[in-house]
This record gives sequence, structure tokens and C-alpha cells, in this order.
Amino acid sequence: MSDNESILQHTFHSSEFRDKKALVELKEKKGLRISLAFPTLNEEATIAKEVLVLKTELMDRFPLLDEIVVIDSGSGDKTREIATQFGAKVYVSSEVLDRYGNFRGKGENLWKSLFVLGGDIIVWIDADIVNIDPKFLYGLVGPLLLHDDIGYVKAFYKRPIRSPSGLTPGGGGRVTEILVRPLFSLLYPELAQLVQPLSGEYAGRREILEQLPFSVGYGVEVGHLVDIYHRFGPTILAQVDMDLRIHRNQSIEALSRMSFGILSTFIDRLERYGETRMLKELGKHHIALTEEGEREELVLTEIATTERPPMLTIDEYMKKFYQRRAEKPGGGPAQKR
Amino acid sequence: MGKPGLFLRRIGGIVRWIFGRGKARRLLRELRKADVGIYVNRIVSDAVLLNQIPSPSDGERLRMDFIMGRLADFGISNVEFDEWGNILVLFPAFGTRRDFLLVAAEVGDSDYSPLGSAVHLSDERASGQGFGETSLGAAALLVFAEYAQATGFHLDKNLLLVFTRSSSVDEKEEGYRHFLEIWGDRISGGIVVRGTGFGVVESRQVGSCRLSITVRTPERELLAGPDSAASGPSAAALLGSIAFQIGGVSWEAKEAATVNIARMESGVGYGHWPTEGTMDIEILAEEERMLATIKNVVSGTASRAAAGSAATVEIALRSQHSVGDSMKNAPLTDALRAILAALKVKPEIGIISEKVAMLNDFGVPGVALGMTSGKKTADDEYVELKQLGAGFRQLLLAVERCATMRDLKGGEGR
Repeated sequence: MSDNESILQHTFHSSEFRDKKALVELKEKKGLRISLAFPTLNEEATIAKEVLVLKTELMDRFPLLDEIVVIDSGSGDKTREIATQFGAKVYVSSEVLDRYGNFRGKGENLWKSLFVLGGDIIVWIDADIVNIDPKFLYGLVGPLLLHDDIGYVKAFYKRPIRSPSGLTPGGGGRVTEILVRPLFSLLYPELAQLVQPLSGEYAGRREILEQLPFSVGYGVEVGHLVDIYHRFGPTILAQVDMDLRIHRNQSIEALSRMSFGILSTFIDRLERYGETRMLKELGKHHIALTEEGEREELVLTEIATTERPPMLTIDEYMKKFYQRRAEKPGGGPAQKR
Repeated sequence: MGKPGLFLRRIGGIVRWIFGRGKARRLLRELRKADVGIYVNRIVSDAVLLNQIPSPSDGERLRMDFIMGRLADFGISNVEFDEWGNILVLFPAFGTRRDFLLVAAEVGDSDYSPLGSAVHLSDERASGQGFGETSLGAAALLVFAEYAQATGFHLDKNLLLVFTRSSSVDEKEEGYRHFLEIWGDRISGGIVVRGTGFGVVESRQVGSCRLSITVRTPERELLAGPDSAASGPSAAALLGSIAFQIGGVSWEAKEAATVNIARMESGVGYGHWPTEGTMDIEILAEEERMLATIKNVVSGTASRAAAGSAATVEIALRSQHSVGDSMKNAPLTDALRAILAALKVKPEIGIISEKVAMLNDFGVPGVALGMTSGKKTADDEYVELKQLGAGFRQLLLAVERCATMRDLKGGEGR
């Protein structure tokens, strides 16, 4: 397959994987375990539904999933209690691998979830989806079960934007279209084939994910894509159409901070892979303006740009996942690509 | 499901009767103490998914497709999608009984909206437009089908599960009516599964009739004088006048009938002459004759309102359902009372609902069961999750009880 159009050729629709029985059989035949984690921060409005629907459908009825975990950044609402009540195993991010310190951010939760989850295939789904459907999970897992050459799968969908009159079609994905797609078009045109490179629903094989560094903040998705591009090539990427995703839309101010984090990770990767050289130190703060009476005032926000190293470099991880395997007859480290 | 198919199933039924009666009794005993927790989660999950499917669609096809897919997932093969858009699922009886016990649920919600119908779950409640009214009942019947399939649940009567369009999307109940025209004489009793109304025993006879009155007047300028060719009251004024006159009529036995102006709409805003308007009227009465009389009075009042003007009045019957037959339903409502007592739920008296009244029109006794309690206001609609376990157990017990009752319909059966 040519790298130039590999992602387009690995573009599926979730309905192609709707035969859940067949997926379960395939999973069992291949001897794989599948884990799902929801990174959360104050998601009491939607987490119950997400856990209940996916657990009922894909653990109880069709045992495609082996575990559902919520990894929480310290919610002040009832996210953790509700998730536990509806059947998820809940971890507080700051209590996992705590000797490595703690950062607040989605990427931090994803990195730590890689340690607590036991599966060979890891699925992450954002906890703010209003129209959750089992296809969000089996759609991501299907390509990994059916195609051994695929290692990392991203969801895409129509993202209507909420307005006072209801939903405006196609208004979502603003950061993607204004920032990320132009950057990819300039520097990684193959990655510009991804419809929603920033989507919060994706799945990957452990042996790939454990080799990736994780940006603790907004840059985690872009960091993954660029790292995968360089280390494994774009041919292991796939994307799946989930039709429609309704979720909480962010304010323009929040999107600006998100863009700062993404751009920071992106520039870091360009330097890391020797694709550009910055002659000036980058700013540490996102700068916004706010009206105070008749004056504009500066608002400086520190955006987390810290990177977590690949899990394979963490002693506890190696002990948990590799020593145990090595002790078993025929065990040993998972084969790397 | 043609006659050869039924014949073969009946043969299968005899075989099952010979070899399976002991198993059936054991299953029914188990059913009384079964842990229904897992089924409750499945009901809520399926109701969440059903409620977020757009509705109405042509023939309610989108939600019906979801149900067909689910039945296929459960490995149920005795399924038919009839020409009127009903889904029929058959579980043949042990033995040779020819009659059917119907268990039906409604599908579809004309008030669907992507955000409003998205369900919100808390630790105690589920809220979302249409969730309790329709989706929860249909999901409970789906999970009942799953339960029946998984446990090899066969009864002394043939069990016919039907998913039919709700009165919200099929106001004239055409789908359900056609189903009953074909199957009515083979059904000895019916259970209608609803999302809400747990503990309500529908024994009060009340029929209803819904009319839409549309008024049209000629176009004119706002300040056209009395000599104008298009003089006369506006559509809005005419509707107001009709409403006033209907409100002024005094009915015999006020407690036994009511006329409710459900909606009135006319005009496009200031600066425009309202040339068209519609008023929806709902009439409720405890007797068929009273219902017909009030309907005639309301129609006559509306027709006369435009007399002598250039306005036109059209009256359309949107739906009508009969008062039901509480005597006919008594064996089933008594059974429901006994089940509620066993579940330690205090029964409340409720009005015989449309789908049950239609069963009665076809000579079939019926009863409606709610899965849980809930509340619906203009701003909020929610159901309590805690009662769903008892609600589902009630359904299992009711099916078991009704399937063993003889002479439900006056001696038909074996």
C-alpha cells in the first residue's frame, strides 16, 4: 500500500463491524483482551449512560470488552460515584504511579490508564458523548481484530454544534480545520487524510502505545499521530466513520488554549525529528485578553506541555506486563513491530 | 406467518408439550425468584439507544430496524415484519393450543429531538423526552423476548409479541388496527407494556376523540375598512369565538366528560392579518354515547361559527378511541392486582389506555402494565430507575399468569 493514500484505504464505516458475535469469536480465536478507559473530569452528566450502554452491550451481552475503567482527574462532582455504581472500575489519576508526580490533563490520564488496564487492545472514549452507541467501541476495535497490519484506529463523525435553536450541522471540529489540518497539509500530508485527527475516541495495540510518549495535555492526539508516522509509518493508521457525535462544545477561549497546547506539541515533534529548528524559546503561557470595564487585560494561562515517557521505560510497567509474561512458560516480551 | 408455518409450529408444540412440561414448570418456579438485575440494565440500555434514534420516520422504520436487529442478535427466528409496519415475534406454546397471548409495546415519539431525546442517567433517574412514554416499554418487551429466548420460555398459550407504532406517530392507529383485524380472533388476551404507570390498574372506562378545526379567511390589509370585500373576523378571532362558545356549553354529568382545548395556533405576527388557524380539541367521556354527542356538538358549534362570513371551517377527526370494557378486562386486571399485591405495590386506578381499548373493540380482554413510575411536565420528563426490577418481574409474572388462565375470551382455546 502506498503511504500517500494509506489512511484513505484504511477508512471504514462502523456498520462494517456490527456483527458483534463474529468480533467476539475473532477476539477469542486470537487470544486477545480488550480494555476501555474513559478519561474524566466532572462528567457526571454523561458518564452513567456511557458506562451502562457499553457494559451492557459489549461486556454482558457480547463479551467483546474485558474491562471498563474510569480514570479521573479529581472530579468535584459525582463522576466517580456514578461510574462505580454503573459498573466501571474507577481510578484517581493522581494515585496511579504517583512516584512519577502528577499533572492535570487528559493525556496524563491516558498514559496512566495504559498502566492500569490489562488489555492487548486499548480503547479510549471521551466521557462527554451525548449519543453514546456501542458502535463507538466495536467500530474502533473491528479494524484491529480483522486487520493485523492496522495498529491504531481513530473515530470520525459529523460534529454538530449546539446552538440556542438546537444543533447546527457541521459546525464542530474548529481546531481541526483551522489549525491541525493546515499544519498536517504543510508537513505531514498523509496525516491530513484523517477526517478527525483530534477525535477523543481511538484504539491501539498495546505494543504500539507503550512505545509512545504522551503529552499530558491537549497535544496528546497530535503527538501520537506524528510519533506513529515516524516510528511505524502511516500505513498502520485507520479511521472509522461513526456517523454523528453530539457532545459538549467548547468556548472559543477554551479552543484557543487547546490550540496552544496542540501547537506546542507539534513544534516539539518537528524539532525532535529534526524537521525544523527553533531559534527562539517558545512562550510558556497562553495569552488571552479579557474586558475589564473599558480596559482590556491580559490573562496568562499555563498550558500543560509536559511529556510522559513511553511506558516501556517505566519500571513498574515492565514488572507488571513483562516480568509476569516472562515467568510464564512460553512467555516473554510482546513482539514489537 | 402463513398457515403451513403455523401447522409445523403446532407439531413442534406437541413435541415440546410431551417432553418439556416439567421443564416449563421448573422455569416458572425459577422465574418467581429470578434475579432480574441484569435485565434491568439491558432495558435501560436498549431504551437509551432506542430513544436516540430519530422519530418519526417513514413507517417508524428506523426504530423498527433497531428492534429487528436486536431480535436477530438474540437469535430469535420466528419474526415477521408485516405490511403495516408491525413486528411480530412468536413463541409457540407447549402442546396444541390454538390461541395466542399478545404482549405488545409501542414504538415511536413524534416529539423527538436530538438533544431533548438524548437520555440523561443519574444514580436514581433517567430523563429524556419520550424515554418513559414509549422507549422504555418497547425496550422492556425486547428484553422480555431476549429472556424468553435465552431461557427456552414456552407457555401453555402461544405467545405473540408485537411492536407497533405509538399513537404519537400513528394517530389513527392504522398499524395496530390492521394487525388486530388479522389476528384479533386468535388472540385470547393482551398485555400492553408501557414505560410508566407502574402500579396503575386500568379499570376506568374513558374514551377520547381528537378533532382538528382549521379556519381560513380571505387575505386583507390590516386596516381595510368595513366596505372591503374581505371584511369579517380574522381566523384568530374566529378560533377564539369557537373556543368561547365551546367553553360555554354545559354538559350533563360534568365529572363524566370533558372538552379540552389542547392547542390553538393562528397568525404569523404583528402587521399581518391572520388568515389561517388551527385548534386541536380533545374530548374525553366515560360513555360512548356521550362521546358521540359531545363530538357532534363541538363540530356543529365550529361549523356555525363561520356562518355569514367568507371564512371556511374544516373539521378533521385526528383520532378516536373507545371507552374500553372494564368488565371484559376484569380477569386480567384482577390478576394484575394480585401480582402487585405479591410485589407489595399499592395499586392505583387508571384510565383504560388506547391500545387496551382497541383490544376490547375486537372482543379481546386486555391489561396495561407500566415498568416504573415517572413524571412528565412541560419542562421535564423522567422515570425512577429503582422500580424497574419490580416492573420487569411484574411483566414476567403477568405473562405466566395470563398464559395459564382459561376462558379469557369466553371459552376459546384448546
